[in-house]
Amino acid sequence: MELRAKVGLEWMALHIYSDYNLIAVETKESIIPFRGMIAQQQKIDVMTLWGERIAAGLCISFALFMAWTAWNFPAAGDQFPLFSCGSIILISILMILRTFLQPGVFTQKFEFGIKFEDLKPLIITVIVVLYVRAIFELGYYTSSFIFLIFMTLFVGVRNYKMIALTAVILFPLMYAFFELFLRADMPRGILI
Amino acid sequence: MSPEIIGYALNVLSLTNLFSMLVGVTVGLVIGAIPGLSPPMAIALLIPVSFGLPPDTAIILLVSCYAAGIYGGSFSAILLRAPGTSASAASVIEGYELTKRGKAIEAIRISTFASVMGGLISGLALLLLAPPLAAVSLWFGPAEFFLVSILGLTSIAAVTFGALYRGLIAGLFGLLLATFGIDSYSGFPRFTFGYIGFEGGLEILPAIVGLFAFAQGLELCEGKAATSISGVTKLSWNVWPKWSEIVYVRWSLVRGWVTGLVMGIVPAAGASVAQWIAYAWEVRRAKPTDQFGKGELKGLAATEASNNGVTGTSLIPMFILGIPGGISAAVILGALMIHGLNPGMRLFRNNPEVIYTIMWGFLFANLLMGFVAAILARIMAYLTLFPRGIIGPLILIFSVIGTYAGANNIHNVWIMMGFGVVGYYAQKYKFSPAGILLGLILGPIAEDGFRDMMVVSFNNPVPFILSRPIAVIILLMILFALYFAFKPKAWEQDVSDESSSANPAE
Repeated sequence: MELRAKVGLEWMALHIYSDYNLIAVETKESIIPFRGMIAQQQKIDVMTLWGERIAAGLCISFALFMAWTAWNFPAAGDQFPLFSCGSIILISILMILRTFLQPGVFTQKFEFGIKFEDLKPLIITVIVVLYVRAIFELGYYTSSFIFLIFMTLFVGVRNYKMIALTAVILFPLMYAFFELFLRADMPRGILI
Repeated sequence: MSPEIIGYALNVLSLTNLFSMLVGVTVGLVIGAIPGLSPPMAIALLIPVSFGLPPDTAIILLVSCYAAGIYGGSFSAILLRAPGTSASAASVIEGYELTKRGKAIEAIRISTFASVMGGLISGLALLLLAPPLAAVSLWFGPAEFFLVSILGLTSIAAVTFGALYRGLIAGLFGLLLATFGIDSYSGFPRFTFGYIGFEGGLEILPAIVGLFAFAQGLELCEGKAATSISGVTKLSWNVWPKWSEIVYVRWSLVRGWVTGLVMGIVPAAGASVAQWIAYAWEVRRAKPTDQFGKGELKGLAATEASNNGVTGTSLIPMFILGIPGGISAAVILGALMIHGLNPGMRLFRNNPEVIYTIMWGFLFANLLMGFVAAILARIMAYLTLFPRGIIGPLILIFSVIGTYAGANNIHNVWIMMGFGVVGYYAQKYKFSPAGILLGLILGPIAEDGFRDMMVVSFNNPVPFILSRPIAVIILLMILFALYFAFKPKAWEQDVSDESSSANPAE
């Protein structure tokens, strides 16, 4: 069944699905689950049952380590750290308990395995670490230029004209802004 | 208001003052928009420029930069999920979602309106109520600071959108991170692990740039390189807010302005806390038709109204008492003294023409900010049409250099990147980067307030708190906030009942 209604500032089509008891809102851009979205938020749509337990376990381990480190900080310097660690442990225990008391809340299936996409952010972070090291060897502008070209190609951009245009416009502007206006002398190495 | 005070408004309309306002606003907007570069930096840069100017013109230049810098951070927050300043972190939640839905210009125009009006109302409060409001700021002691920070922490429940436990863990994680560094009470290094970069503690700016900007850069590099953030191919030209939009968000604006005005008077709390309290207030008042967390204009209007609503009132303790309410106010205080103006009631008695001209200048600067922001916003919005594979690496470059340029400290860059990785995975697994940031910002205020309160109350905090009226009021606000945070709304209860009847396994 479809109804038209004004939601906020826009007229939208409301779709009511009687079998799922869900209302979806269709706008020009997309279909957005309406009240059903709120019900969905009661379900954890990203974490799995075992993912929740593993995450809680990791939080408990981390909190125990930090609490052990903080024990006996002088002049009551351990109060806030111990309060934070204790609270993390308590909430993590509640998370684990919920996986036993309300298992239906976790709708995703646990799949063990690591894909390349999961590692991509870490690979990019390593590349950025190398870029930061290169700033002090090659110079800020040179290393940033190389980084921009390499990273855009790495992530899959194949519009070479746009990459070149971006570099040609951006770096002189950055030089003018940081060196001439801010007078923030950027690190120099073999080159600028 | 006496006729003399109104007469000082004409002093602002000189060519020199207007030009200095324009320069201050433009510099503030541009620098505020770049992640890692902050309004205090922009103000400090303009101090040498101000040396040759008359005192009122010089301070107008700086306060214009301050007001615009607070708003400038919202551009990158809304368009790129990379807040330029700590005052704009909350705008990321709804603003960037609106951008993803192709509504970047709508988001920018309502945030500009909210910020301009917030600055104007705050400026009027500064002009009319400076002396009495300054007295109020003296009523805030350790107990009040501690409770204000707890009130801010209750906002964590509002920004978790269903993943309450994970949001709370994120907030507590932020609180824990806030204890890193040399303990100011004992001088003992806490959680430094022998790394020199931790000895000064974890600064807010690298955390913001890492949790939002760097993490966003990682996310953009991960996705389809050729698509744009918004998925649209052209932008609207209409940068002026529509009447229907203003009517839709009118009460959110009012709540945001009130929050900003009140929090501005509290030294050290400022825009960083006000935006979260305003946002949490809006989320608690959500109706079934609202789309908080998915791009709700009311949420954005409230945060923007509050963060600029703070600007005028946060200058009151600085002008009247010489107590800066934040880093920006501290820099402006330094500039005041460089120009031979000593803050205090004597300034109002001996140099009323200077101080009131400055206040009128602040008011007019907020108006000017609206026009300049509209032009700059339209240019910056083009960034949302760029492919993700280009914007992502650019954000990573600016994250690194913005963090480094702030203090010339490479350790901040490493810390920023650490936060970036944490922020990326936190966002992916619903551990609320906003919660981590809230804990990090409020942790020092809470801990210092708590420890001072224990000393002042001779380890008897409860009777001490109950004997202070403002502390009792804040305590009641905390209890209300917690009650409404955990109490399900009536329409949520109806939906849960419908869901459980449809899915008996749950």
